[in-house]
Amino acid sequence: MKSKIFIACAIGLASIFTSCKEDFLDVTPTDRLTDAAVIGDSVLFEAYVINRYLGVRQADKEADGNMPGFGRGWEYALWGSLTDESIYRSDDQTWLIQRGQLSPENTGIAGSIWGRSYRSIREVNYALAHIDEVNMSQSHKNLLMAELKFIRAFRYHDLIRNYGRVVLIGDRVAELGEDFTDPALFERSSIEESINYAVQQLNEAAQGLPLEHSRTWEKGRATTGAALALKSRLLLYAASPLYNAGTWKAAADAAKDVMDLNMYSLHPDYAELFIAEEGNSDEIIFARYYNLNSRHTALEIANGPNGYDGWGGNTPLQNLVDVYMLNNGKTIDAPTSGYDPQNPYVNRDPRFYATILYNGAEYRGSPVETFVPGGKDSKDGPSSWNTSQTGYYLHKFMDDTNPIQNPWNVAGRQPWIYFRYAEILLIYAEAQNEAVGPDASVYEAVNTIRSRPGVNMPALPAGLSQAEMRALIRRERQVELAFEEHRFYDVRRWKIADITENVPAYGMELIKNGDTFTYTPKVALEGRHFEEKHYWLPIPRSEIQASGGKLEQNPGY
Amino acid sequence: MNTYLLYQNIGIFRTQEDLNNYPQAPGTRLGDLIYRDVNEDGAITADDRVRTELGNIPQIMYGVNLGATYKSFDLSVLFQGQGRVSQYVLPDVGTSGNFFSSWADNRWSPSNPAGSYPRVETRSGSAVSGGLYQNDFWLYNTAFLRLKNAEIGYSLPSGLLSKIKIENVRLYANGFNLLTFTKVKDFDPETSSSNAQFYPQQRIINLGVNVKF
Repeated sequence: MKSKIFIACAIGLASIFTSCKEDFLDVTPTDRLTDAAVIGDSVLFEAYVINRYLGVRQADKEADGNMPGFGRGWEYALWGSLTDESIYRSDDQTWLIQRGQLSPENTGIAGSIWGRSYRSIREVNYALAHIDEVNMSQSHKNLLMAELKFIRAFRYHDLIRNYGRVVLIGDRVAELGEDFTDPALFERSSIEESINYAVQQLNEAAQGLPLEHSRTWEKGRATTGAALALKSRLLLYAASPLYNAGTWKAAADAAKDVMDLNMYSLHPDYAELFIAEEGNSDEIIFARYYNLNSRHTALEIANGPNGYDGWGGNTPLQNLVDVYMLNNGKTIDAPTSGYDPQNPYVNRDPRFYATILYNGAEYRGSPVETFVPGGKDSKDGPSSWNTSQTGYYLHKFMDDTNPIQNPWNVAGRQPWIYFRYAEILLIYAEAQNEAVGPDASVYEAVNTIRSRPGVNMPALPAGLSQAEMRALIRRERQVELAFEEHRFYDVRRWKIADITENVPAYGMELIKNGDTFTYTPKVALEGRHFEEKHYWLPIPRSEIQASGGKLEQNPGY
Repeated sequence: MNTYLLYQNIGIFRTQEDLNNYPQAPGTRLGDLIYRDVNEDGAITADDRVRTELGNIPQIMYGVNLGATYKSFDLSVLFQGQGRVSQYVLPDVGTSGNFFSSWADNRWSPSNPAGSYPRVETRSGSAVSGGLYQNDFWLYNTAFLRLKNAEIGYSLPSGLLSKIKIENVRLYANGFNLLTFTKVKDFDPETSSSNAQFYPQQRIINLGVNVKF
């Protein structure tokens, strides 16, 4: 009995003396890693760096399948549906951009680039600020620093091409509780300064990054080629009329630097290039890869025709269809092209068939039927609400080995290609043509793309003027790079958006009468509209408010 | 609590003159709503939104339970209601769903220029008069008084029943959601869905017999 009382007292006393530790609220969280853990462990630190290729979900209708990377990438509504390439059938905040209703409070799907990019830049700066404290060889630190500078430059590239002048924050790591009243913190640099900064970062990155992927430098991480490719794209933008902040020669030289690496070449099969999960093509310079454990949205059901139980998401426009040449190398409006408006889909550039599903196209063992009455992929087919308003469906990127129905555990593994060699050739051709005119190297660059084995289009005719060559290169970009997030920026930097984006969004209505079809163009989305101010996106209202009104809005908004 | 930040509509653009006289949101056409330019800067921006007085959490909720018996009859009634409450409801319609008939029948159109509802768009969520500029046209006063439950019963005389060894027999009829007094015509005022996607409450009528041995 006595001993029991003693034990009870001892427990009581012990609890009195131990229960009031002062830091009992400072627990180490078990569901996330602390700063100290990341900096104290070289493996965790490297994982932190690699994760900077990804971003956070910022808005509704984004990151539906996986974390966002750079740009928009694989989402239900592709970035191409903000252009004359396609419209997104069920809107998802894309129509207001097509219709010129963008405003700082209504940014649609284009509202998250600002916030996500600056968040990433700060995270990169955090790693750069602390890398000295990490226990790691200096040579590996140099690699990671080069990689971080590449990622940071990519974020600035995303900012510059959408907003123009950006706020350069250098290596600063802003912390909560700091004084943010200084207007200099929100001052936007000129486009020239912004691009020069990013290019200088990329020069340093190109020096420090490895040339090739390896067991220790996995696919998906930046290489010298990726840094030089990004640099050439930025310099191409800089030389373009909208930016007017660089020279065509600098852009041509930068593209030539990538070509002179002699590491990249065109993939022979245009359609296959976009599908292989492994992406082991010599054409791919920098891409984001997916696998069974980390998939993006299931593209086949998202975009497939309603007759196949697809949802008809991003539906190509007639505006794009008309750009594809005949396979004799003539445009559809050329008098001798042989184009027949009442039989429009025969003998076209093979990339047309790889990119667009049209009435009569063989798809998964049956022809696509967009005609009325009765076509299975028209509004007379099943799930009529999933019918394309344009009469076309997307074919590019679609992997026929994926099921359309119930794809949830298998589909969504195509890589998103940020840079591929064809773009570099087109950057070179465009910049060289502007700098010195259509010399032999310009012809060679474009003809290399056109003579890719699976495409095999005739070479460009000799003796073109600079203006004729310019028009053909622009057409080649539109065709070759369709749906790869180029058109939106191209029509802006060329300052032709006030024309191209004010053309109605056309589709094609097919009426079947016996064995014959009648083709009638129709407007697929009402109210397409573009104004001068839309050359740049509006900075979201919330960002302006967060700066206390110090951040300057783009003109016109 | 749960109040809304909305543009204030002051009518419908019916003439070219209206379009000339009022600032308008981009993409506005005849038949769209006119929004009040609250800060009078000549443009419709997010600064023109106004906090609503009421939200969709009612400031008043009440109920009355009444009961009566007379001879062999019994009656119980439950009234329920709410007051000082608003609900924003913009039905998700167009190619993706169905319109309320009151909107479809009374929509502005070139052939119905006096329509009391704005013109219809391919999708209401993408419309200037809809989801792009959330506004108080779609704010409904969802105050209501509802006969939630009523029951009437009649017990058979016990003298008769005791002969066949039954203690009590009661015939009754009851009903749920029998009557609703509200200004809302298109949907159940008890909803809290802002796109009108919800399953409405059912009206249920039961007839029954209680037998006690």
